[in-house]
Amino acid sequence: MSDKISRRQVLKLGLGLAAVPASTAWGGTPTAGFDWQQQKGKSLVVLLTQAPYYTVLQKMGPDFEKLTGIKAEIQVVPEQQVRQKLPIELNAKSSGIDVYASSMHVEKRLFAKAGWYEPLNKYLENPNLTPPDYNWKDFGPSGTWWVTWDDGTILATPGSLGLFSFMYRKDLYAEKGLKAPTTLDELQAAIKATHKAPTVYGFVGRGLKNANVPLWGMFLTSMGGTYLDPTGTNLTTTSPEAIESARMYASIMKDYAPPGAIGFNWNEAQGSFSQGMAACWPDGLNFAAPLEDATKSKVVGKVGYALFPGTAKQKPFSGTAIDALALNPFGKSKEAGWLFIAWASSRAVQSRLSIEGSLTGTRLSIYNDPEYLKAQPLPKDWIEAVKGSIESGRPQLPQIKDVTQFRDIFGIALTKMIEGGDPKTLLEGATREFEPILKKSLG
Amino acid sequence: MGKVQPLARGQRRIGHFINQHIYTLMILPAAVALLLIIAFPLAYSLWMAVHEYSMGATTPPLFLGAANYLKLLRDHRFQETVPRTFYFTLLGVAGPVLIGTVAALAFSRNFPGRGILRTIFTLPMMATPVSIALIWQMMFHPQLGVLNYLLSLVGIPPQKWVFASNSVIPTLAIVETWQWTPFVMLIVLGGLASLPEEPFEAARIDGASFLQSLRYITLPLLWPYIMVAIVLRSIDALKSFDIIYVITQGGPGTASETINIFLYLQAFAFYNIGFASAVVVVFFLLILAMSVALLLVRRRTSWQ
Amino acid sequence: MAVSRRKVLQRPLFGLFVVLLMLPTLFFFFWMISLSFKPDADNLSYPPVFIPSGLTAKNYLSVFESSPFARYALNSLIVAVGSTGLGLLLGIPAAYGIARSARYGVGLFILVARMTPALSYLIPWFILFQRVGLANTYHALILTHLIIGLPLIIWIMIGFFEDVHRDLEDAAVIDGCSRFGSFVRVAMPLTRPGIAVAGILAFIFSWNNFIFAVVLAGPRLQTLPVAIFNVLTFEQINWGPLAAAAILVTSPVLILAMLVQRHIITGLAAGGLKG
Repeated sequence: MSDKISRRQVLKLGLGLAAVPASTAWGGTPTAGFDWQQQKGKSLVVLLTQAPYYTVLQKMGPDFEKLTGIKAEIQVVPEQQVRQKLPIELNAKSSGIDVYASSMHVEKRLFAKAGWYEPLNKYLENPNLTPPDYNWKDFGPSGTWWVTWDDGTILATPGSLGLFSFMYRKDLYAEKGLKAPTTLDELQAAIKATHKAPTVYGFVGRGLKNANVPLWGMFLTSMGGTYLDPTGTNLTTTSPEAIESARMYASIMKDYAPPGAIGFNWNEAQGSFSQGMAACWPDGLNFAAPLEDATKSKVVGKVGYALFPGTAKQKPFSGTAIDALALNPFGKSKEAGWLFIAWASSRAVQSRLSIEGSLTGTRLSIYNDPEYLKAQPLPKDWIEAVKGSIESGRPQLPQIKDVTQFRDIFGIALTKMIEGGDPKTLLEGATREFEPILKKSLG
Repeated sequence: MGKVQPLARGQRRIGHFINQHIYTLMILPAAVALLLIIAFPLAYSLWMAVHEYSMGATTPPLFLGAANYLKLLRDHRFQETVPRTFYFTLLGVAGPVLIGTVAALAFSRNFPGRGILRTIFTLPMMATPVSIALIWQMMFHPQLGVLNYLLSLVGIPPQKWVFASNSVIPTLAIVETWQWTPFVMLIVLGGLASLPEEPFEAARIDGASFLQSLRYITLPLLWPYIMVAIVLRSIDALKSFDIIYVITQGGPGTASETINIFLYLQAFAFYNIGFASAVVVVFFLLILAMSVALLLVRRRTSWQ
Repeated sequence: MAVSRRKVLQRPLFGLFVVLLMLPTLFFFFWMISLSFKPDADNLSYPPVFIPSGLTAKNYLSVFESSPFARYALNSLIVAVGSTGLGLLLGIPAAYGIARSARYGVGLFILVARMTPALSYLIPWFILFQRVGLANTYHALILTHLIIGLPLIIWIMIGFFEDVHRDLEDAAVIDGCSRFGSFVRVAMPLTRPGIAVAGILAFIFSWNNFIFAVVLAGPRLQTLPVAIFNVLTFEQINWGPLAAAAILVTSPVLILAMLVQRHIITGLAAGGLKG
């Protein structure tokens, strides 16, 4: 981590963490004309899920206190435990937590229906509570879509957008005269051509149930399929596109992925790819940082970043998911909590989280800022891929209340396909199993 | 009742009362404390189990009668978890008990470095289970893990360990065994320390061999302790969660989904509190049945 | 003589046996220690690096950087000592009472507390503690950890008390002791190994438990195992800091175990002549 430490030191020296009246686009300078100290003396409890950018945010707690006079106790907890702690607290209408991180792709519908998000519209529209340069529009449609409910209520502020795209070994591809595939046919050809088991496998990807559904979803969307029909009330997971995409996923995993990939999550896949054992790895671009770290990876400088290949029905795209910051409606210090959120999701702070904590935020202004481009350690084509991914993003999971159960049921079906089961039968079984759950959640 | 000093009448009565009921009075504080702490959760689970309720529901719990139980017993996925759980438990109890007893016997002998080695031997149980699980998971990686590397040094082909349906449960049982063998060892070792000297002296005088005294004296005397270890280990193995969830999350597919993992999913992934409570009750009854059976075996085979 | 030849052969065989027994544990912890002192480049490479290119203390430093380690350690200590102490205080007499009056039904009831999975306690406890104002307190954590330790202590001690001959106690009673007195003066000293084992096990289980603290308490009261999670970042699991954190969290327990060993071996002091 020595690289990161020295860069942090550089930033510190260059920009100064204490309030210095220089107005570079970043640095934690308080906005002139906005009273950050209005909730001085209050204290907050903030619950964040494990993520490198939240670890950085946690370290910035003292900065927030200096700026606002509010003492924020920031707790970073792994996802598995958050899933137990958070709903129990919110369900009991406890005021123990003021601000929390929410995985919108999993929680949005459930939490919104339960009334667990404090609507933020009135805070955003109040010039006394929101700094004038906050710029909601900066989050772009891909960010704001995720955090807005059908009726326009804003549920949370957009954080890191998970961008499920495509990472590949440009050196191995160049050897075969290949470029980043833009269609599924090109992808399959590239996988075959670069497959040289057991030294290099043509493909590595998630096989672990639950984690594998977004990967299948990429194939599905690429072929023009969807999880649900346009009304959002019926499953379309037995359509020809669904079956064909599942078949492709399973056969690639079976024939071209390393042995044991059936149980791989992003972590194992990342290990294999960073040690040079696979020629391509579709997954989140936010997992790229260790790949370009010479102290960890054997493929530094050899990784290409692109969008996930499409077909005639869908141009290359990325699958999105998002982390957001929300306010507990049962909390006792909502204005103070909002100030924390406004600070944490501000351009200045998000820029810093992008550099130091791999945040792939949706604030478009950051990606065009020359300061950011200079400080970002990851290669140019990663930044390009991120920009392209944000623009072409499609949600990687269905927009329903019981997303986790969907991932579980279909994830198991996908695993069985890799083991040799028939995609059509398994998809039909999974659909039958999930249908009543979907119907109940809509009722 | 022994020489009692002349006391005032009231005092003698109280003293007498206490002495008569001394055992009950000694049990009472612990029993009451436990009752207070678990009464509400038990009642809550029983109540929830007959209602329909999800976290975040905007409607109050709906009374269902036995519907959750019926649904559970008919659920194929749940039905599959039961034999799987008992299979894992069997491996996860037999391993530690056998190896643990042998280890206790070995460590009861006096040899140089005994204390240090014994302490090191208990390390697996002392380290935080989640960290152990993560490191084992890393060691199991089919291409990058150290275990397959070691196998390759002796010419054995790489194994899939937890990354294949047919080998995942035995592999997890290996981790469970490695972790909890010290637990059994400590209990049996403590038992060995409490055994009286006389039978062994007598046996030695009679010229009994090591194996003979082991079989006719040591093991029968140790049996109650071994049984306690079996009972406690069985309960823990049935409930084993951290290792399985961290390493496989119940996968691949559902190949390592035990009852407790199933329960966790229902309660904290799908948030079906009502249904999950029914699972809790059924699971509890299974554990209770098994414990009672084991305790009866313990009583019947008691040396005394 | 046949006996001495067998004895001569026994030694190296026994030694080999002990080595085999220790091998998995020795290897694992050697691996873990080496992970904690190696830089990440070594930790991820294949073939695995057993002899590192350079040792580093950075992993250990990062554990302290990522968590308020001292505070977590203090919390863990308070809760573990509290719940183990309370467990021994309540449990030892209870085990004696059950063993002597053969009330195994009560014993079973106590075991019941250990039978339900911890998950099922989380929601009702949270609600309960909120209502009685015990949310986010040491008291709540100590009570909940008691659930883990008390049944364990009682059932281990039952076995030990059963082995204490009544004659020994009856002799004390005839000499003027009350029943309780014979418990304290005769039974307890004889079962010292049991008390040591039960105590150390209860302490370990409490020390390693963290889900209760995560759900039932706020940031200030978190216990040590959480420090292990704090070194895991999402973009990659950092093996070095993870191993370092695990070692740091385990060390206090290890030291305690070494101190307590003495009490367990009192009965074995005579050179291990039992079998």
